[in-house]
Amino acid sequence: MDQMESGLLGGFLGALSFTNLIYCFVGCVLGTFVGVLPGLGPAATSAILLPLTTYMPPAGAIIMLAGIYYGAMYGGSTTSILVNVPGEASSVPTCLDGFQMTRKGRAGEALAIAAIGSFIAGTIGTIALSFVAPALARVALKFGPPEYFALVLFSLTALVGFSEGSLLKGLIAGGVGMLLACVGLDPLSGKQRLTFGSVTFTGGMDVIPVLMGLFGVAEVLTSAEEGILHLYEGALGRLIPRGRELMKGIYASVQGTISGFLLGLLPGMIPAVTSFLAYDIERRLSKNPQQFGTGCIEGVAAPEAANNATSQAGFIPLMALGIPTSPTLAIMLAALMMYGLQPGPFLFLHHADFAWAVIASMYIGNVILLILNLPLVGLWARLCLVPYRFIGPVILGVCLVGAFSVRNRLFDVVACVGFGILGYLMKRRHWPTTPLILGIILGPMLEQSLRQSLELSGGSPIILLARPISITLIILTAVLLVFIRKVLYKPQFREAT
Amino acid sequence: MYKGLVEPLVVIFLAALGIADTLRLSSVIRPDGTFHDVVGPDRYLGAISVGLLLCGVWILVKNLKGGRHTPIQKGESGGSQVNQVVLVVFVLVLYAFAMPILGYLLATCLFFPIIYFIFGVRPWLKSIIIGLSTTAVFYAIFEYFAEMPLPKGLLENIL
Repeated sequence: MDQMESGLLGGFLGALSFTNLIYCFVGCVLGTFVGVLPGLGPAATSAILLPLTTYMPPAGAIIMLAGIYYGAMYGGSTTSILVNVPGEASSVPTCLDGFQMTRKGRAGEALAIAAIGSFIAGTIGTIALSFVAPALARVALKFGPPEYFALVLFSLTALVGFSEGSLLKGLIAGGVGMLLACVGLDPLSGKQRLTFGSVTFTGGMDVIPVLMGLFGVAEVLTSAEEGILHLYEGALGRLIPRGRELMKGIYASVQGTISGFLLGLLPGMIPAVTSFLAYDIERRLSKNPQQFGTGCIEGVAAPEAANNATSQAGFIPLMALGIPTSPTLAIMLAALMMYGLQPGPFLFLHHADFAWAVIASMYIGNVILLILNLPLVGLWARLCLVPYRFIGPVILGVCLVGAFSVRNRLFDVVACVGFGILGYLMKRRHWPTTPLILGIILGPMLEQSLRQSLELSGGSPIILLARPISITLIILTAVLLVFIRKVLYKPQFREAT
Repeated sequence: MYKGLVEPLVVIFLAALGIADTLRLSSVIRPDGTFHDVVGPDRYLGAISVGLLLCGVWILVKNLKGGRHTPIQKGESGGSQVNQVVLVVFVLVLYAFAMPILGYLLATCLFFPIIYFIFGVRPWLKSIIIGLSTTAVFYAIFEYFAEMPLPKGLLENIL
């Protein structure tokens, strides 16, 4: 406990430095902006800005990227409530009651409870992160290569299984990602793989052009056709709900926080999924479930709290185990690795100042976001109307320069365009892109831990089944696969969610 | 061209590339230093490739059986939007290949006005003005603020 207190205190000193405060503020503003803007999400924005962060200090860069992630959860509700167009996939359930509240002249109350719910979830989530992440990191210190192999296998399975589209398509996309990660020199033997004699491929497939292509260029190509057709021009009404309504909203926010946080610890449980589940849980627990969908305050508070709690919870496996639970966190993992910071149990040992500064910045970021989203909500509502014809070309320009900037290789620019086209085609044909990118990021970790495990055992695969944590995780992987196949891919379940 | 066949065939092609390289790697004698590395550089790659091959064949058979090999209908995918995307992709590819020859500044001066126009900024003059302004802002940020070594191309002696 003392260690946590001193760590957090040191973290606040770091996070409150002028530079880090600026990065936190910029991250929150950008996050809210991309949250408000339909068609541009936190994953795309983080991917687009990733190369630019190489010119920033590591703590500042991660503070900003984290701000974009949880900031987007705040901003996503604005257009859901005002124009019935979700800014983020995680804000889709907010449309159900949020827009109905707007139609009843209660837009201000809906926006306020969304911001309050997000703040409650963000703050509780950050408090839990402060306690759980270092404790989990201490446990994870006992992890060896077999445990890591099982953990990465479990995470990959969950992330592929919970992604959109069919399981088979998810598996193929993940496999292609793992195959692409093999391009270049084999890290252990130094042999060339999948280079086919080309010097260009020897350097391997850098993850940044792939991310920028799949999330940035592809997003622009897909979104070029979309846009908000009309602006809500009515009055927002009173902002803070009255006594009983406020209490109902706060209570639903706490319930949404609990479900969102617990689910968010699992790989694949992205905010878009947990917000739906939180809405459903709230409706089932309610004494008046028939009111849901007609403009009920709990229907706004619960999903908004859940998506924020999930985004905070995802930082626990990322920081303590080095395992991303969502695409945006995978990008953050790539950013950490770019700085030579290996997320996982040693992060709190070797880079404690950094880890605590990032956590402390989240407390500050949530306060900034509450201020940005309560009094300034009208401004955000109008900002979302910037026509896509002005934003799209700028995103494309940033993506191409960003892809070039990391290794100064024009091959990366071509790769970025190529992956952009691939991402666009995948979206059009309903192929999930998330497993592809996770295959590229987690594939090398899986291979390395497998080969290290077998080296430890002298070549016997029994080592993977002989250690309690690894066997438990392997059994869980098998159970998860069965669950995904039998439950998640049933048409009834898909329709219900 | 059949819709349901292209995707599995691409997957099978990628798997075949992986299998071919696995066979090449497995024919190389392993160095003594890696005697416990039973996986080596080839078997992991081989396992993924075989997995992909199986999935590709599975989806191919499924699509053939399920009658998803229906020819693409004309106008099915929303003509003008697809045309716009094709144009954007064409300009992006041109830009990527023009950058090393023309340099970042010249290539971007051409890229932005064209791409703004494709995205619907009208009239031409407006897209040129906005495009050149965006280029100037980008150049200032990346060249002077971020100090990125951008390719100079034809302007090598001037810049």
